[in-house]
Amino acid sequence: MKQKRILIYGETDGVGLSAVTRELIGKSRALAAKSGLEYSLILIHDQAENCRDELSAYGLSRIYIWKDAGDFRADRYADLLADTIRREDPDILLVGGSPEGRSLAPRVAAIFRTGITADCTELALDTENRLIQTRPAFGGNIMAHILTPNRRPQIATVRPGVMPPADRTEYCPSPEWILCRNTARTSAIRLLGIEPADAAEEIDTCSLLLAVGGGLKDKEDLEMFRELAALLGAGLAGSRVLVERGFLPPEAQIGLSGHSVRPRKLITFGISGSLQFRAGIRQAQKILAVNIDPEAEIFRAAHTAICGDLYEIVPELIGQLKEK
Amino acid sequence: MMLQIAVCMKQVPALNEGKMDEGMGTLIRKDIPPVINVYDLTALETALRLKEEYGGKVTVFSMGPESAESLLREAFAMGADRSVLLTGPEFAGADAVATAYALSQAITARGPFDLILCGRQTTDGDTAQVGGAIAQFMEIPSIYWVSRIHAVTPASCTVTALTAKGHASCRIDFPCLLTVERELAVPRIPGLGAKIAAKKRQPEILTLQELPDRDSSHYGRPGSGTRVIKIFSPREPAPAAAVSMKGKEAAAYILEWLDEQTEGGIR
Repeated sequence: MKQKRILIYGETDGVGLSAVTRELIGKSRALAAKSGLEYSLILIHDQAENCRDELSAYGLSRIYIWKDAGDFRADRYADLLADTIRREDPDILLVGGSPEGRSLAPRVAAIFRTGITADCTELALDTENRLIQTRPAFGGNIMAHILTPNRRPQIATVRPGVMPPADRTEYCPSPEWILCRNTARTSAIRLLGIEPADAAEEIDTCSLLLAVGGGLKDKEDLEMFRELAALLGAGLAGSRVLVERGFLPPEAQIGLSGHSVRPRKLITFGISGSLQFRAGIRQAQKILAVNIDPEAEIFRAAHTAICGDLYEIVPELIGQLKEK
Repeated sequence: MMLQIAVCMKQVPALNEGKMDEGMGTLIRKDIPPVINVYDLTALETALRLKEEYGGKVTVFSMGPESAESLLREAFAMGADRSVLLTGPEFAGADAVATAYALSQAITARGPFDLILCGRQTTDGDTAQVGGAIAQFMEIPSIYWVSRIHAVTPASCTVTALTAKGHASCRIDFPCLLTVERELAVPRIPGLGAKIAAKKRQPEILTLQELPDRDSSHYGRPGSGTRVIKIFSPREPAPAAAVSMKGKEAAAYILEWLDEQTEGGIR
Protein backbone atom coordinates (compact mmCIF):
# COMPACT_ATOMS: atom_id res chain seq x y z
CA MET A 1 0.00 0.00 0.00
CA LYS A 2 1.19 3.49 -0.85
CA GLN A 3 2.37 5.49 2.12
CA LYS A 4 -0.12 8.21 3.00
CA ARG A 5 0.98 11.68 2.04
CA ILE A 6 0.38 15.28 3.03
CA LEU A 7 1.11 18.10 0.61
CA ILE A 8 1.57 21.56 2.10
CA TYR A 9 1.00 24.69 0.04
CA GLY A 10 3.88 26.94 1.10
CA GLU A 11 3.82 30.74 1.10
CA THR A 12 6.50 33.33 1.68
CA ASP A 13 6.26 36.72 3.32
CA GLY A 14 8.79 38.35 1.04
CA VAL A 15 11.76 37.43 3.26
CA GLY A 16 11.30 33.77 4.13
CA LEU A 17 8.53 31.27 4.73
CA SER A 18 5.32 32.79 6.07
CA ALA A 19 4.38 32.02 9.67
CA VAL A 20 1.37 29.94 8.69
CA THR A 21 3.53 27.78 6.42
CA ARG A 22 5.73 26.93 9.41
CA GLU A 23 2.58 26.12 11.36
CA LEU A 24 1.38 23.75 8.63
CA ILE A 25 4.76 22.02 8.61
CA GLY A 26 4.66 21.75 12.42
CA LYS A 27 1.21 20.17 12.31
CA SER A 28 2.15 17.79 9.47
CA ARG A 29 5.19 16.69 11.38
CA ALA A 30 3.13 16.03 14.51
CA LEU A 31 0.60 13.99 12.49
CA ALA A 32 3.43 12.10 10.77
CA ALA A 33 5.06 11.23 14.08
CA LYS A 34 1.90 9.39 15.12
CA SER A 35 0.93 7.75 11.85
CA GLY A 36 4.06 7.33 9.72
CA LEU A 37 2.74 9.36 6.83
CA GLU A 38 5.11 11.53 4.83
CA TYR A 39 4.79 15.24 4.11
CA SER A 40 5.98 17.35 1.21
CA LEU A 41 5.66 20.99 0.20
CA ILE A 42 5.01 23.05 -2.90
CA LEU A 43 6.35 26.59 -3.21
CA ILE A 44 5.40 28.75 -6.17
CA HIS A 45 7.99 31.48 -5.88
CA ASP A 46 10.84 32.95 -7.85
CA GLN A 47 13.08 33.44 -4.79
CA ALA A 48 12.50 29.95 -3.40
CA GLU A 49 16.29 29.63 -3.06
CA ASN A 50 16.13 31.94 -0.03
CA CYS A 51 14.16 29.29 1.82
CA ARG A 52 16.36 26.37 0.84
CA ASP A 53 18.27 26.00 4.13
CA GLU A 54 15.19 26.38 6.25
CA LEU A 55 13.12 23.95 4.18
CA SER A 56 15.85 21.32 4.48
CA ALA A 57 15.51 21.28 8.27
CA TYR A 58 11.92 20.08 8.65
CA GLY A 59 11.98 16.44 7.56
CA LEU A 60 10.01 17.14 4.37
CA SER A 61 10.10 14.30 1.81
CA ARG A 62 9.80 16.29 -1.41
CA ILE A 63 9.83 19.98 -2.20
CA TYR A 64 8.28 21.15 -5.45
CA ILE A 65 9.51 24.54 -6.61
CA TRP A 66 7.70 26.44 -9.37
CA LYS A 67 9.61 29.32 -10.88
CA ASP A 68 8.60 32.05 -13.32
CA ALA A 69 4.96 31.88 -12.27
CA GLY A 70 4.77 35.60 -11.43
CA ASP A 71 2.77 37.13 -8.58
CA PHE A 72 -0.16 35.34 -7.02
CA ARG A 73 -3.18 34.96 -9.24
CA ALA A 74 -5.81 32.47 -8.14
CA ASP A 75 -6.52 31.02 -11.58
CA ARG A 76 -2.91 30.42 -12.60
CA TYR A 77 -1.70 29.22 -9.21
CA ALA A 78 -4.63 26.77 -8.96
CA ASP A 79 -3.51 25.19 -12.24
CA LEU A 80 0.08 24.86 -11.04
CA LEU A 81 -0.96 23.42 -7.68
CA ALA A 82 -3.27 20.96 -9.46
CA ASP A 83 -0.35 19.81 -11.63
CA THR A 84 1.70 19.05 -8.54
CA ILE A 85 -1.22 17.27 -6.88
CA ARG A 86 -1.53 14.97 -9.90
CA ARG A 87 2.16 14.17 -9.64
CA GLU A 88 2.42 13.81 -5.84
CA ASP A 89 -1.03 12.22 -5.34
CA PRO A 90 -1.45 13.37 -1.71
CA ASP A 91 -4.20 12.14 0.61
CA ILE A 92 -4.27 15.50 2.35
CA LEU A 93 -3.65 19.05 1.07
CA LEU A 94 -3.03 21.71 3.72
CA VAL A 95 -3.28 25.38 2.79
CA GLY A 96 -2.79 28.40 5.06
CA GLY A 97 -5.93 30.38 5.84
CA SER A 98 -4.27 33.52 4.47
CA PRO A 99 -5.98 35.80 1.93
CA GLU A 100 -4.06 33.94 -0.78
CA GLY A 101 -4.71 30.43 0.55
CA ARG A 102 -8.41 30.96 1.06
CA SER A 103 -8.89 32.22 -2.49
CA LEU A 104 -6.78 29.43 -3.98
CA ALA A 105 -7.98 26.34 -2.11
CA PRO A 106 -11.64 26.30 -3.25
CA ARG A 107 -10.51 26.43 -6.89
CA VAL A 108 -8.34 23.38 -6.32
CA ALA A 109 -11.20 21.60 -4.52
CA ALA A 110 -13.39 22.24 -7.56
CA ILE A 111 -10.74 20.88 -9.95
CA PHE A 112 -10.64 17.58 -8.04
CA ARG A 113 -14.30 17.70 -6.97
CA THR A 114 -13.29 16.89 -3.47
CA GLY A 115 -14.20 18.18 -0.03
CA ILE A 116 -12.71 21.32 1.46
CA THR A 117 -12.92 22.46 5.07
CA ALA A 118 -12.20 26.14 5.57
CA ASP A 119 -10.43 27.87 8.40
CA CYS A 120 -9.66 24.81 10.54
CA THR A 121 -8.50 25.40 14.10
CA GLU A 122 -7.47 21.82 14.78
CA LEU A 123 -6.49 18.78 12.71
CA ALA A 124 -6.15 15.16 13.84
CA LEU A 125 -6.17 11.70 12.26
CA ASP A 126 -8.72 9.00 13.03
CA THR A 127 -7.89 5.28 13.30
CA GLU A 128 -7.97 4.94 9.49
CA ASN A 129 -5.65 7.94 9.08
CA ARG A 130 -8.47 10.10 7.78
CA LEU A 131 -8.26 13.79 8.61
CA ILE A 132 -10.61 15.01 11.35
CA GLN A 133 -10.99 18.72 10.68
CA THR A 134 -12.27 21.05 13.40
CA ARG A 135 -13.68 24.41 12.43
CA PRO A 136 -15.92 27.09 13.88
CA ALA A 137 -19.16 28.18 12.21
CA PHE A 138 -21.84 30.76 12.98
CA GLY A 139 -19.27 33.37 13.93
CA GLY A 140 -17.56 30.98 16.33
CA ASN A 141 -20.71 29.94 18.19
CA ILE A 142 -20.57 26.35 16.97
CA MET A 143 -17.63 24.04 16.40
CA ALA A 144 -17.81 21.13 13.96
CA HIS A 145 -15.75 18.04 13.24
CA ILE A 146 -15.67 17.38 9.51
CA LEU A 147 -14.40 14.41 7.48
CA THR A 148 -13.89 13.96 3.76
CA PRO A 149 -14.40 10.20 3.80
CA ASN A 150 -14.24 9.14 0.16
CA ARG A 151 -12.66 11.83 -2.00
CA ARG A 152 -9.03 12.79 -2.31
CA PRO A 153 -7.19 14.88 -1.56
CA GLN A 154 -8.84 15.95 1.68
CA ILE A 155 -8.34 19.73 1.58
CA ALA A 156 -8.16 21.94 4.67
CA THR A 157 -7.32 25.61 5.02
CA VAL A 158 -5.90 26.35 8.46
CA ARG A 159 -6.41 29.48 10.49
CA PRO A 160 -3.11 31.32 10.98
CA GLY A 161 -1.70 31.59 14.47
CA VAL A 162 -3.46 28.66 16.14
CA MET A 163 -1.03 25.79 15.54
CA PRO A 164 2.54 25.71 16.86
CA PRO A 165 5.18 26.27 14.18
CA ALA A 166 7.77 23.64 13.29
CA ASP A 167 11.19 23.78 14.94
CA ARG A 168 14.24 23.19 12.78
CA THR A 169 16.03 19.92 13.34
CA GLU A 170 19.72 19.56 12.72
CA TYR A 171 19.71 15.95 11.65
CA CYS A 172 16.92 14.94 9.35
CA PRO A 173 16.82 13.28 5.93
CA SER A 174 17.39 15.73 3.08
CA PRO A 175 14.32 16.45 1.02
CA GLU A 176 14.18 15.69 -2.68
CA TRP A 177 14.04 18.96 -4.65
CA ILE A 178 11.84 18.94 -7.72
CA LEU A 179 12.05 21.92 -10.02
CA CYS A 180 8.87 22.39 -12.01
CA ARG A 181 8.45 24.29 -15.21
CA ASN A 182 5.73 26.81 -15.70
CA THR A 183 4.04 25.47 -18.79
CA ALA A 184 3.20 28.95 -20.08
CA ARG A 185 -0.28 29.23 -18.64
CA THR A 186 -1.63 32.74 -18.87
CA SER A 187 -3.85 34.52 -16.40
CA ALA A 188 -6.74 36.83 -17.11
CA ILE A 189 -5.60 38.92 -14.14
CA ARG A 190 -2.90 41.57 -14.35
CA LEU A 191 -1.36 42.98 -11.20
CA LEU A 192 -0.95 46.76 -11.50
CA GLY A 193 0.49 47.67 -8.09
CA ILE A 194 0.41 47.05 -4.34
CA GLU A 195 -0.04 49.47 -1.43
CA PRO A 196 0.84 48.25 2.08
CA ALA A 197 -2.22 47.82 4.33
CA ASP A 198 -2.77 49.92 7.49
CA ALA A 199 -2.37 48.14 10.79
CA ALA A 200 -5.91 49.12 11.71
CA GLU A 201 -7.30 47.01 8.92
CA GLU A 202 -5.58 43.90 10.11
CA ILE A 203 -7.41 43.32 13.36
CA ASP A 204 -8.31 39.79 12.32
CA THR A 205 -4.73 38.81 11.60
CA CYS A 206 -2.54 40.58 14.18
CA SER A 207 -1.04 38.58 17.03
CA LEU A 208 -1.43 41.21 19.75
CA LEU A 209 -4.64 43.17 19.82
CA LEU A 210 -6.03 45.95 22.03
CA ALA A 211 -9.79 46.38 22.16
CA VAL A 212 -11.56 49.42 23.60
CA GLY A 213 -15.21 49.79 24.56
CA GLY A 214 -17.85 52.01 26.05
CA GLY A 215 -15.62 52.86 29.02
CA LEU A 216 -13.97 55.41 26.75
CA LYS A 217 -15.41 58.86 27.41
CA ASP A 218 -14.23 60.96 24.49
CA LYS A 219 -13.01 60.36 20.98
CA GLU A 220 -9.78 62.22 21.87
CA ASP A 221 -9.06 59.57 24.50
CA LEU A 222 -8.47 57.11 21.67
CA GLU A 223 -5.14 58.87 21.14
CA MET A 224 -3.61 57.24 24.20
CA PHE A 225 -4.69 53.83 22.89
CA ARG A 226 -3.18 54.59 19.50
CA GLU A 227 0.06 55.50 21.26
CA LEU A 228 -0.06 52.33 23.37
CA ALA A 229 -0.80 50.17 20.31
CA ALA A 230 2.12 51.72 18.44
CA LEU A 231 4.48 51.14 21.40
CA LEU A 232 3.42 47.50 21.65
CA GLY A 233 3.17 46.84 17.92
CA ALA A 234 -0.45 45.86 18.51
CA GLY A 235 -3.62 46.26 16.47
CA LEU A 236 -6.45 48.48 17.79
CA ALA A 237 -10.07 47.39 17.68
CA GLY A 238 -13.28 48.22 19.49
CA SER A 239 -16.72 47.07 20.49
CA ARG A 240 -19.86 47.96 18.60
CA VAL A 241 -20.69 50.93 20.80
CA LEU A 242 -17.51 52.77 19.74
CA VAL A 243 -18.33 52.21 16.08
CA GLU A 244 -21.88 53.45 16.64
CA ARG A 245 -20.52 56.58 18.36
CA GLY A 246 -18.29 57.11 15.31
CA PHE A 247 -15.06 56.78 17.34
CA LEU A 248 -13.80 53.85 15.23
CA PRO A 249 -14.49 52.69 11.66
CA PRO A 250 -16.62 49.54 11.12
CA GLU A 251 -13.50 47.62 10.01
CA ALA A 252 -12.25 47.87 13.59
CA GLN A 253 -15.35 46.32 15.19
CA ILE A 254 -15.14 43.02 17.04
CA GLY A 255 -18.21 40.87 17.57
CA LEU A 256 -20.96 39.01 15.80
CA SER A 257 -21.80 41.97 13.57
CA GLY A 258 -18.12 42.82 13.14
CA HIS A 259 -14.96 40.77 12.99
CA SER A 260 -14.08 37.53 14.68
CA VAL A 261 -10.52 37.97 15.85
CA ARG A 262 -7.86 35.41 16.69
CA PRO A 263 -4.87 37.14 18.26
CA ARG A 264 -2.47 35.26 20.47
CA LYS A 265 -3.03 37.92 23.11
CA LEU A 266 -5.96 40.28 23.53
CA ILE A 267 -6.32 43.08 26.09
CA THR A 268 -9.73 44.66 26.48
CA PHE A 269 -10.17 48.07 28.12
CA GLY A 270 -13.56 49.29 29.28
CA ILE A 271 -15.51 46.64 27.38
CA SER A 272 -18.53 45.28 29.24
CA GLY A 273 -18.53 42.07 27.20
CA SER A 274 -21.95 41.29 25.73
CA LEU A 275 -22.54 37.79 24.39
CA GLN A 276 -22.26 39.23 20.87
CA PHE A 277 -18.87 40.73 21.65
CA ARG A 278 -17.65 37.55 23.34
CA ALA A 279 -18.58 35.52 20.26
CA GLY A 280 -16.02 37.57 18.35
CA ILE A 281 -13.12 36.80 20.70
CA ARG A 282 -13.54 33.06 21.21
CA GLN A 283 -10.49 32.32 19.11
CA ALA A 284 -8.16 34.58 21.06
CA GLN A 285 -5.57 32.45 22.83
CA LYS A 286 -5.11 34.60 25.94
CA ILE A 287 -7.42 37.38 27.06
CA LEU A 288 -6.72 40.01 29.71
CA ALA A 289 -9.68 42.22 30.55
CA VAL A 290 -9.59 45.59 32.30
CA ASN A 291 -12.89 46.98 33.54
CA ILE A 292 -13.90 49.27 36.36
CA ASP A 293 -16.98 47.16 37.16
CA PRO A 294 -16.06 43.99 39.11
CA GLU A 295 -19.23 42.31 37.82
CA ALA A 296 -18.55 43.05 34.13
CA GLU A 297 -19.53 40.19 31.84
CA ILE A 298 -16.25 40.43 29.97
CA PHE A 299 -14.58 38.72 32.93
CA ARG A 300 -16.51 35.53 31.98
CA ALA A 301 -14.48 35.34 28.79
CA ALA A 302 -11.14 36.48 30.19
CA HIS A 303 -8.22 34.39 31.41
CA THR A 304 -6.93 37.31 33.46
CA ALA A 305 -9.16 40.00 34.94
CA ILE A 306 -8.18 43.38 36.34
CA CYS A 307 -10.72 45.56 38.05
CA GLY A 308 -9.37 49.04 37.55
CA ASP A 309 -9.69 52.41 35.85
CA LEU A 310 -8.38 52.51 32.29
CA TYR A 311 -7.73 56.26 32.68
CA GLU A 312 -5.19 55.44 35.42
CA ILE A 313 -3.76 52.29 33.87
CA VAL A 314 -3.19 53.25 30.24
CA PRO A 315 -1.07 56.42 30.87
CA GLU A 316 0.93 54.40 33.40
CA LEU A 317 1.48 51.61 30.83
CA ILE A 318 2.66 54.12 28.25
CA GLY A 319 5.04 55.63 30.81
CA GLN A 320 6.50 52.27 31.82
CA LEU A 321 6.93 51.19 28.19
CA LYS A 322 8.78 54.40 27.36
CA GLU A 323 11.15 53.87 30.29
CA LYS A 324 12.07 50.41 29.02
CA MET B 1 -22.24 49.33 -22.31
CA MET B 2 -24.57 46.53 -21.31
CA LEU B 3 -23.01 44.70 -18.39
CA GLN B 4 -24.58 41.38 -17.53
CA ILE B 5 -24.06 40.93 -13.81
CA ALA B 6 -24.95 37.86 -11.74
CA VAL B 7 -25.14 38.08 -7.93
CA CYS B 8 -25.17 34.99 -5.68
CA MET B 9 -27.19 35.33 -2.50
CA LYS B 10 -28.11 33.07 0.38
CA GLN B 11 -30.77 33.01 3.04
CA VAL B 12 -29.29 32.45 6.52
CA PRO B 13 -30.68 32.39 10.06
CA ALA B 14 -30.69 35.87 11.62
CA LEU B 15 -28.31 36.38 14.49
CA ASN B 16 -30.05 38.91 16.67
CA GLU B 17 -29.90 39.86 20.30
CA GLY B 18 -30.97 37.13 22.69
CA LYS B 19 -31.17 34.42 20.09
CA MET B 20 -28.39 32.34 21.53
CA ASP B 21 -28.50 29.75 24.26
CA GLU B 22 -26.32 31.35 26.95
CA GLY B 23 -25.58 28.10 28.71
CA MET B 24 -24.76 26.14 25.59
CA GLY B 25 -23.22 29.00 23.66
CA THR B 26 -25.12 27.77 20.61
CA LEU B 27 -27.82 29.23 18.44
CA ILE B 28 -31.42 28.57 19.22
CA ARG B 29 -32.26 27.87 15.61
CA LYS B 30 -35.98 27.36 15.76
CA ASP B 31 -38.02 30.54 15.49
CA ILE B 32 -35.04 32.37 13.98
CA PRO B 33 -36.39 34.29 11.01
CA PRO B 34 -34.30 33.83 7.86
CA VAL B 35 -32.58 36.91 6.48
CA ILE B 36 -30.32 37.64 3.52
CA ASN B 37 -26.69 37.02 4.35
CA VAL B 38 -25.46 40.58 5.01
CA TYR B 39 -22.33 40.15 2.90
CA ASP B 40 -24.51 39.28 -0.11
CA LEU B 41 -26.38 42.58 0.26
CA THR B 42 -23.06 44.31 -0.42
CA ALA B 43 -22.62 42.19 -3.53
CA LEU B 44 -26.10 43.16 -4.76
CA GLU B 45 -25.54 46.85 -3.93
CA THR B 46 -22.26 46.74 -5.85
CA ALA B 47 -24.01 45.21 -8.85
CA LEU B 48 -26.77 47.84 -8.76
CA ARG B 49 -24.25 50.69 -8.63
CA LEU B 50 -22.30 49.26 -11.56
CA LYS B 51 -25.54 48.96 -13.50
CA GLU B 52 -26.48 52.55 -12.67
CA GLU B 53 -23.08 53.86 -13.70
CA TYR B 54 -22.34 51.75 -16.76
CA GLY B 55 -25.69 50.28 -17.81
CA GLY B 56 -26.64 46.64 -17.73
CA LYS B 57 -28.78 44.05 -16.05
CA VAL B 58 -28.56 42.46 -12.61
CA THR B 59 -29.70 38.86 -12.09
CA VAL B 60 -29.78 37.38 -8.61
CA PHE B 61 -29.22 33.65 -8.06
CA SER B 62 -30.04 31.74 -4.94
CA MET B 63 -30.22 28.06 -4.07
CA GLY B 64 -32.59 26.90 -1.38
CA PRO B 65 -36.11 25.85 -0.50
CA GLU B 66 -39.05 27.63 -2.12
CA SER B 67 -39.38 29.77 1.00
CA ALA B 68 -36.21 31.53 -0.20
CA GLU B 69 -38.49 33.39 -2.63
CA SER B 70 -38.85 36.08 0.05
CA LEU B 71 -35.12 36.76 -0.29
CA LEU B 72 -35.50 37.21 -4.02
CA ARG B 73 -38.40 39.64 -3.55
CA GLU B 74 -36.17 41.69 -1.29
CA ALA B 75 -33.60 41.69 -4.10
CA PHE B 76 -36.30 42.89 -6.53
CA ALA B 77 -37.21 45.67 -4.10
CA MET B 78 -33.58 46.81 -4.04
CA GLY B 79 -33.52 46.93 -7.84
CA ALA B 80 -32.57 43.53 -9.28
CA ASP B 81 -33.88 42.98 -12.84
CA ARG B 82 -34.22 39.22 -12.68
CA SER B 83 -34.00 36.60 -10.00
CA VAL B 84 -33.54 32.87 -10.24
CA LEU B 85 -34.20 30.36 -7.47
CA LEU B 86 -32.50 27.02 -7.92
CA THR B 87 -34.61 24.61 -5.94
CA GLY B 88 -35.40 20.93 -5.56
CA PRO B 89 -34.76 18.01 -3.23
CA GLU B 90 -31.64 17.04 -5.22
CA PHE B 91 -29.81 20.13 -3.93
CA ALA B 92 -30.36 19.51 -0.21
CA GLY B 93 -27.38 18.86 2.05
CA ALA B 94 -24.81 20.40 -0.28
CA ASP B 95 -21.41 21.40 1.09
CA ALA B 96 -19.45 24.39 -0.25
CA VAL B 97 -18.16 22.65 -3.39
CA ALA B 98 -21.50 21.02 -4.28
CA THR B 99 -23.26 24.35 -3.70
CA ALA B 100 -20.77 26.06 -5.98
CA TYR B 101 -21.27 23.42 -8.66
CA ALA B 102 -25.05 23.83 -8.57
CA LEU B 103 -24.79 27.63 -8.74
CA SER B 104 -22.27 27.44 -11.59
CA GLN B 105 -24.72 25.27 -13.52
CA ALA B 106 -27.59 27.67 -12.83
CA ILE B 107 -25.50 30.67 -13.90
CA THR B 108 -24.46 28.83 -17.06
CA ALA B 109 -28.08 27.94 -17.80
CA ARG B 110 -29.15 31.60 -17.57
CA GLY B 111 -25.94 33.18 -18.86
CA PRO B 112 -23.72 34.40 -20.30
CA PHE B 113 -22.63 36.96 -17.69
CA ASP B 114 -19.68 39.36 -17.72
CA LEU B 115 -19.36 39.62 -13.99
CA ILE B 116 -20.38 37.34 -11.11
CA LEU B 117 -20.42 38.91 -7.64
CA CYS B 118 -20.47 37.09 -4.30
CA GLY B 119 -20.33 38.34 -0.71
CA ARG B 120 -17.09 37.66 1.13
CA GLN B 121 -18.68 34.79 3.11
CA THR B 122 -21.95 33.76 4.71
CA THR B 123 -22.72 34.35 8.37
CA ASP B 124 -23.78 30.74 8.96
CA GLY B 125 -21.13 28.62 7.27
CA ASP B 126 -18.38 31.30 7.34
CA THR B 127 -16.40 29.32 4.75
CA ALA B 128 -15.77 31.91 2.00
CA GLN B 129 -15.21 28.99 -0.37
CA VAL B 130 -18.24 28.98 -2.66
CA GLY B 131 -17.14 31.90 -4.86
CA GLY B 132 -13.75 30.45 -5.77
CA ALA B 133 -15.22 27.06 -6.56
CA ILE B 134 -17.93 28.62 -8.79
CA ALA B 135 -15.19 30.41 -10.74
CA GLN B 136 -13.20 27.21 -11.17
CA PHE B 137 -16.25 25.24 -12.34
CA MET B 138 -16.94 27.98 -14.89
CA GLU B 139 -13.23 28.21 -15.76
CA ILE B 140 -13.10 31.95 -15.24
CA PRO B 141 -10.64 34.05 -13.19
CA SER B 142 -11.52 35.14 -9.66
CA ILE B 143 -10.36 37.75 -7.18
CA TYR B 144 -11.25 37.56 -3.50
CA TRP B 145 -11.51 40.31 -0.83
CA VAL B 146 -12.31 43.13 -3.28
CA SER B 147 -12.71 46.48 -1.50
CA ARG B 148 -13.05 48.78 -4.54
CA ILE B 149 -14.02 48.55 -8.18
CA HIS B 150 -12.54 51.40 -10.19
CA ALA B 151 -12.65 51.41 -13.95
CA VAL B 152 -15.00 49.20 -15.92
CA THR B 153 -14.62 48.68 -19.67
CA PRO B 154 -16.64 46.34 -21.89
CA ALA B 155 -13.85 43.78 -21.59
CA SER B 156 -12.44 44.13 -18.06
CA CYS B 157 -12.53 45.91 -14.72
CA THR B 158 -9.87 47.23 -12.34
CA VAL B 159 -10.24 46.41 -8.66
CA THR B 160 -8.47 46.83 -5.33
CA ALA B 161 -8.22 43.65 -3.28
CA LEU B 162 -6.59 42.57 -0.04
CA THR B 163 -3.53 40.33 -0.38
CA ALA B 164 -0.88 39.23 2.11
CA LYS B 165 1.35 42.07 0.88
CA GLY B 166 -1.29 44.81 1.09
CA HIS B 167 -3.93 46.27 -1.18
CA ALA B 168 -3.30 45.06 -4.71
CA SER B 169 -4.64 46.88 -7.71
CA CYS B 170 -5.51 44.38 -10.48
CA ARG B 171 -7.14 44.38 -13.87
CA ILE B 172 -9.27 41.32 -14.52
CA ASP B 173 -10.82 40.31 -17.85
CA PHE B 174 -14.52 39.48 -18.23
CA PRO B 175 -16.05 37.04 -17.62
CA CYS B 176 -14.85 36.89 -14.03
CA LEU B 177 -15.94 36.43 -10.45
CA LEU B 178 -15.28 38.83 -7.55
CA THR B 179 -16.03 38.40 -3.86
CA VAL B 180 -16.63 41.77 -2.25
CA GLU B 181 -15.91 43.21 1.18
CA ARG B 182 -18.59 45.04 3.14
CA GLU B 183 -16.68 48.32 2.92
CA LEU B 184 -17.24 48.38 -0.85
CA ALA B 185 -20.80 49.67 -0.62
CA VAL B 186 -23.48 50.26 2.00
CA PRO B 187 -26.64 48.43 0.87
CA ARG B 188 -29.62 50.64 0.08
CA ILE B 189 -32.87 50.32 2.02
CA PRO B 190 -35.73 49.87 -0.44
CA GLY B 191 -38.70 52.26 -0.12
CA LEU B 192 -42.22 51.13 0.63
CA GLY B 193 -43.35 51.53 -2.99
CA ALA B 194 -40.55 49.33 -4.24
CA LYS B 195 -41.37 46.72 -1.62
CA ILE B 196 -45.02 46.61 -2.62
CA ALA B 197 -44.14 46.38 -6.30
CA ALA B 198 -41.68 43.58 -5.56
CA LYS B 199 -44.41 41.53 -3.85
CA LYS B 200 -46.13 41.12 -7.20
CA ARG B 201 -43.04 39.81 -8.96
CA GLN B 202 -42.22 36.14 -9.15
CA PRO B 203 -38.68 34.82 -9.16
CA GLU B 204 -37.91 32.31 -11.91
CA ILE B 205 -37.78 28.78 -10.59
CA LEU B 206 -34.98 26.62 -11.92
CA THR B 207 -34.87 22.87 -11.32
CA LEU B 208 -32.38 20.10 -11.99
CA GLN B 209 -34.06 19.21 -15.29
CA GLU B 210 -33.17 22.60 -16.76
CA LEU B 211 -29.46 22.48 -15.90
CA PRO B 212 -26.81 21.46 -18.46
CA ASP B 213 -25.70 18.64 -16.10
CA ARG B 214 -28.78 16.69 -14.93
CA ASP B 215 -26.91 13.95 -13.06
CA SER B 216 -28.34 14.22 -9.54
CA SER B 217 -25.31 12.46 -8.02
CA HIS B 218 -23.30 15.67 -8.69
CA TYR B 219 -25.50 17.75 -6.38
CA GLY B 220 -26.63 17.99 -2.79
CA ARG B 221 -25.39 15.49 -0.25
CA PRO B 222 -24.34 12.82 -2.82
CA GLY B 223 -22.25 15.47 -4.60
CA SER B 224 -20.58 16.64 -1.39
CA GLY B 225 -17.15 15.40 -0.37
CA THR B 226 -17.42 16.50 3.26
CA ARG B 227 -19.43 15.06 6.13
CA VAL B 228 -20.06 16.84 9.42
CA ILE B 229 -19.54 14.14 12.04
CA LYS B 230 -19.99 16.18 15.20
CA ILE B 231 -21.19 19.62 16.29
CA PHE B 232 -20.40 21.04 19.70
CA SER B 233 -20.17 24.32 21.62
CA PRO B 234 -16.81 25.97 22.07
CA ARG B 235 -15.73 26.32 25.68
CA GLU B 236 -15.21 29.69 27.26
CA PRO B 237 -12.33 29.80 29.72
CA ALA B 238 -13.22 29.37 33.38
CA PRO B 239 -14.26 32.83 34.56
CA ALA B 240 -11.36 34.77 35.97
CA ALA B 241 -11.69 36.37 39.39
CA ALA B 242 -11.19 40.10 38.92
CA VAL B 243 -8.33 41.52 40.96
CA SER B 244 -8.59 45.20 41.90
CA MET B 245 -5.49 47.15 40.99
CA LYS B 246 -4.34 50.75 40.84
CA GLY B 247 -2.71 52.25 37.78
CA LYS B 248 0.94 51.60 38.50
CA GLU B 249 0.48 48.07 39.79
CA ALA B 250 -1.90 47.15 36.96
CA ALA B 251 0.50 48.49 34.32
CA ALA B 252 3.40 46.44 35.68
CA TYR B 253 1.15 43.38 35.85
CA ILE B 254 0.00 43.80 32.24
CA LEU B 255 3.58 44.17 30.98
CA GLU B 256 4.55 40.97 32.79
CA TRP B 257 1.52 39.20 31.28
CA LEU B 258 2.57 40.35 27.81
CA ASP B 259 5.99 38.75 28.31
CA GLU B 260 4.52 35.34 29.17
CA GLN B 261 4.67 32.75 26.43
CA THR B 262 1.41 31.55 24.93
CA GLU B 263 0.66 27.88 24.33
CA GLY B 264 2.91 26.33 21.76
CA GLY B 265 5.74 28.68 22.60
CA ILE B 266 4.71 31.36 20.14
CA ARG B 267 4.33 35.00 20.87
